[in-house]
Amino acid sequence: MSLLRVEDINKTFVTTRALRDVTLNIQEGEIRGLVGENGSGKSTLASIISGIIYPDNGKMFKHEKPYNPRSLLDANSSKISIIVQEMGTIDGLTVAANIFLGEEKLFKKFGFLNTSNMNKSSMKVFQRFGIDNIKPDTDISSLSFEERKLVEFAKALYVGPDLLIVDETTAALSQHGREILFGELERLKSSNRSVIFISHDLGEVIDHCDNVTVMKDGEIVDTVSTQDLKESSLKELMVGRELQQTYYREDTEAFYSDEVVLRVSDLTLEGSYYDISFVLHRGEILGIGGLTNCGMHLLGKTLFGLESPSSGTIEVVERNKRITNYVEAIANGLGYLPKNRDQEGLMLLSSIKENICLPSLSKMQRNTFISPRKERGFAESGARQLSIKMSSINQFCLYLSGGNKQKVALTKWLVRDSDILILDCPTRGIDVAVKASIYNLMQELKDKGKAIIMISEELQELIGVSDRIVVLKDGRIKKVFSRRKDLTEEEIIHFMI
Amino acid sequence: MSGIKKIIPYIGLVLIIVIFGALTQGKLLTFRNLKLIFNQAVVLIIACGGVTFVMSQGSLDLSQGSLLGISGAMAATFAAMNTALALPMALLTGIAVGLINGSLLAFFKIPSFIITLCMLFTLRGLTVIATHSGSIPIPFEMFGLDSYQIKVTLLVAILVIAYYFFNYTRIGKGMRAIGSGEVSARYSGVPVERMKILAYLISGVLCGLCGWLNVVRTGAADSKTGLLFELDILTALVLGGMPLTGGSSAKLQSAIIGGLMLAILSNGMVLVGIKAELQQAVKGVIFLLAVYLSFERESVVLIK
Repeated sequence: MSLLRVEDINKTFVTTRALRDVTLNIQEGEIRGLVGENGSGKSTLASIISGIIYPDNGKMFKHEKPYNPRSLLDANSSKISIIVQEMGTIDGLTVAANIFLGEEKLFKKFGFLNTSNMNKSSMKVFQRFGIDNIKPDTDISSLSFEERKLVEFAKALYVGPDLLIVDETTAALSQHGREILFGELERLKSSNRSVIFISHDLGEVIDHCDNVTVMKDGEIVDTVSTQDLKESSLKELMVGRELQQTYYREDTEAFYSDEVVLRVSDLTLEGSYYDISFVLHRGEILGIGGLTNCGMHLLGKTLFGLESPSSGTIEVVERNKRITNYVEAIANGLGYLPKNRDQEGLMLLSSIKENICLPSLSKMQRNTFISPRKERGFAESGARQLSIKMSSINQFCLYLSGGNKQKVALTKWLVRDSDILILDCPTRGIDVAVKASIYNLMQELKDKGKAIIMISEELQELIGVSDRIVVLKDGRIKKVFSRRKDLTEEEIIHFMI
Repeated sequence: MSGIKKIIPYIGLVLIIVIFGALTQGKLLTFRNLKLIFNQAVVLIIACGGVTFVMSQGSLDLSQGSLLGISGAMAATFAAMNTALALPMALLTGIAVGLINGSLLAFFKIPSFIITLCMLFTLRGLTVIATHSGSIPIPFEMFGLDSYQIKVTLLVAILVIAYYFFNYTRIGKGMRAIGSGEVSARYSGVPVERMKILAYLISGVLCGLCGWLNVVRTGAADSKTGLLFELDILTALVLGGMPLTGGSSAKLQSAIIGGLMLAILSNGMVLVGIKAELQQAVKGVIFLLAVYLSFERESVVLIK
């Protein structure tokens, strides 16, 4: 019998279509794997099923009855619970208070919360899982990441779920934690309950799931049985057949000057990435790829002097200068486009002009004086170069579209004439037309002899525009690919996961 | 900000002049009274000018009232030894306090509201100690310094210089960028920590100057000097159109317009005969009203 049926679910975030006509049917007693690349919509789907966000349209049925959760607690009362990918516990509360969040009324006595009862109940929950080192009355923030995940797990199971969603949790767990988790999943299955298991670890998915659903770009590609399923064929499904995109570079070989402009040596940031060494050449687009948490985003920030590495050096070769902070980085020709455009890339409540000119003020000034005419000139020429759609350069960035915002964030470094650009997910959440113009711009800059580091979570993009691709896994360089015609996503994925 | 919002402070200024002009049957605008208003406004406008740099970053400076007190006390104490020491000591006091405020904010990431509030209490305590809970008179020969020439020259010079740095240099632009979005400003190369310290330094040194001006005008440093002055500054700036969140719509004009408005308002209330206790209450209500009218709610959600 069907436990959960999802029909034609659509979800659009401001500019991106996260889910498109998603239909899913989970049987009772089934452990269903859910795999796909970053941004394929797995977590969005999980959030919708667990009531954290609402779909734009579409229907859901649980045990063939309409199911429309309005909140996580709502979903819990329908016996559906989730362990989220990010931190799902609240700092400052005790372990027990986290487990029974929203269920405090169970322990109410004369209007007061009976914490000792709550702690006792928590102990019982833990004992069942064989967890004996977590005390219910400790502050959750004093626990390790793994312990917190186990607390979340206990909390999700306490609901007594018919359907448990596990979103990218195993990566945080040790072998012992995993054993506890999979043991419980099996127990759920044997009592005719179901699990949706989201993971990047394909081997794990094949070992523990009955069927796997593959998602790509917000759509469901296929659902296959894990019997006799090979990891490689699952990867092929994830990557899918691709239409040849015309907006990428047309040459098929790496092409850049021998001159090294940036040298990174043994760069380590404890807890994020380790022993990163590479050189960047004049006229080169160097792609850096990996999973979201492989350390590449923090690496980008470090290169721009925003993070202090634990050890190692970043050197602008031509000027024989080591980069230790962001002011120096900019002065020595670096530019940085952050991944988080609205919080880090732009001042939304400032004008296009102010945003574009900010990094260039030191260049514009003459004896501290910055001429308003010069500012206008810089902003207008920059805006024209990237054909930003706007009413005037005095317009606030807040009301621009995502693509136009990205253009403004990029223009900052164009007008400053930066020689080395670090672009973190330059085409994230923007439409195809702007994407194409950004790729064109990167090509133009490359032709002019600028050097670009492009950090990206999209393999296609990495293959499409990079001269070389550095692949990171768990913070270490696993492989460096050179541009070639027959480079495939499967080849790269192999080193990422 | 829409066009109408920009001119609201100017309309407010005109309204206050008209209302109190009418209520006092023109007494407000007599030459003698205008001189009185000017005397009150000078100190307020200069201090507001300094705090403008702080508020443009989206921070607050509530230490000003007590700083006015302690810098005045320092000026008066040292004037007893040598009258030439009075001004440098007042300025040094302002610089020191500004440096402490700015460094605490920049390096220890304590909210500016808390830092400067603590500073307000601390400095008030020191002022009471320095004045022995009473007042310190200044030497008679300093009375001559209370001249309109000096005050007008100082006011104009400070406003011109402040206007230049606020609008045409990296300092003002960088500070407003911090108010618009600290992270983005940093990522665009604004030296955030340095800017924060500099803002409090400017605010402190100008308040130190006000402390000296105040002592020279009143002839003594009192333990109560500057009480609630910080709230007058805040009210004046908000009345003048300064957004509490700072950012790109922060303007130095707010200091001038707001300072004038509050000086006229205070003076007018005295002329009309409103009791001193009630005057504070009226100011409080006006402050709330000004914040309500000028608060950009949508931007607060975005920034903080």
